[in-house]
Amino acid sequence: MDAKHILLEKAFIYKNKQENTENENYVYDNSLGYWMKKDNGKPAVYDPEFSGPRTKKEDIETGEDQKGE
Amino acid sequence: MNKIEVLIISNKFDFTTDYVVLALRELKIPYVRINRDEFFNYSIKVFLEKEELHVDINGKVFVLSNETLKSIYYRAPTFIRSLDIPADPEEQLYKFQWASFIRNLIIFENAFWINNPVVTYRAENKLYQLKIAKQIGFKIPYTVVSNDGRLPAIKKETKYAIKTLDPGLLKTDDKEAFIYTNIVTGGELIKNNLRSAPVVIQEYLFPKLDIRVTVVGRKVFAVKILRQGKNIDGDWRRIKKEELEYIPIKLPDDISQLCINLVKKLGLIFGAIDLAFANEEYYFLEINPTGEWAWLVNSVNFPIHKEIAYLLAQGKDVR
Repeated sequence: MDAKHILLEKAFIYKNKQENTENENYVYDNSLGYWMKKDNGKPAVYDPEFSGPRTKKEDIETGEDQKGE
Repeated sequence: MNKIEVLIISNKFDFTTDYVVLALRELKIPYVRINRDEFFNYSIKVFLEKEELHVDINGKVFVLSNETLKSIYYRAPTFIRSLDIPADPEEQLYKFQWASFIRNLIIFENAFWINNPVVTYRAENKLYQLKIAKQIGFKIPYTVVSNDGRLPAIKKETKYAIKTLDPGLLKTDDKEAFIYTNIVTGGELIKNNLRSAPVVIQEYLFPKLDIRVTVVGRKVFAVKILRQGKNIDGDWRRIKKEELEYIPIKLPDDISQLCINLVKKLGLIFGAIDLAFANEEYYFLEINPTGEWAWLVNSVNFPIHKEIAYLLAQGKDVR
């Protein structure tokens, strides 16, 4: 019997990247509760140049779904 | 003092939450967003006798009470699946005590939650989901959970889908790993080591069409997921984003209703459901009570954020 668990053999491994280092042209407003562009105050998520949301694994679904911290 | 109708629990870098905040602003609903990574910037007071929470953000005081608070949007983990225990005791204290504080907000029993963490805790369990899905009328793949691949039903040459019971996030020194659904042969299951952890072993559906159904209350948003125009063998989340296509579809009425019923039966308001269409039938694979959805706003303009905001503004289950 092989030593490694079958799920570990099949695991997708990726580099543990630092997140949230981009988006320097945007600022979070604490009392309004959303990110906005520094120069015009428009919501970041509606700005095509804004890079979030994204996940660490670069996939769509599992990285930011509040399952891990 | 600002009396608040909607409380949002999130973290600063959860941009998905921004969509809901902006939709609530359009509806002119008084809200406050508290971020789990920003507690240092808040002054927080809970007056248990009055069942009131006061949050001071930059000198602005937001007041939440069981009488005036309508809804809570909960974008936070329920199970703690922490891969990093901070070395600094101060950080440990922050992490675990604030996590507990957030959970304790269930004192707001009159509020309408999307989703209530107590309910999410139960609904996240895969076997339970499959059992309930089958109970209400969904077809599910043949499923066995085992730490021993030598099962009577396992045939050497047959293919099976294997997956984890809990999200398979792992960590080594500088790397992380995620265990997606994998396709293996019965021979591999028999030969390989399963002993140290249980594995979900399922009937391999092939060919299959992947369908993601996002349910918000009574609203159903469904897409089929293709890779360069073709069905996908195995886990679509492994495939590069650029190669994936999401195409809005209308589910048959009975399947759509089953999705609504499942979310309701599990006590949830929101759920991201994975279905597979194979053998001319719709199979339930799993439901994620905390599944992501902003990618569907961006890619196919589904107004999921508006539906969430609308329900939060209503403050009640309108199903």
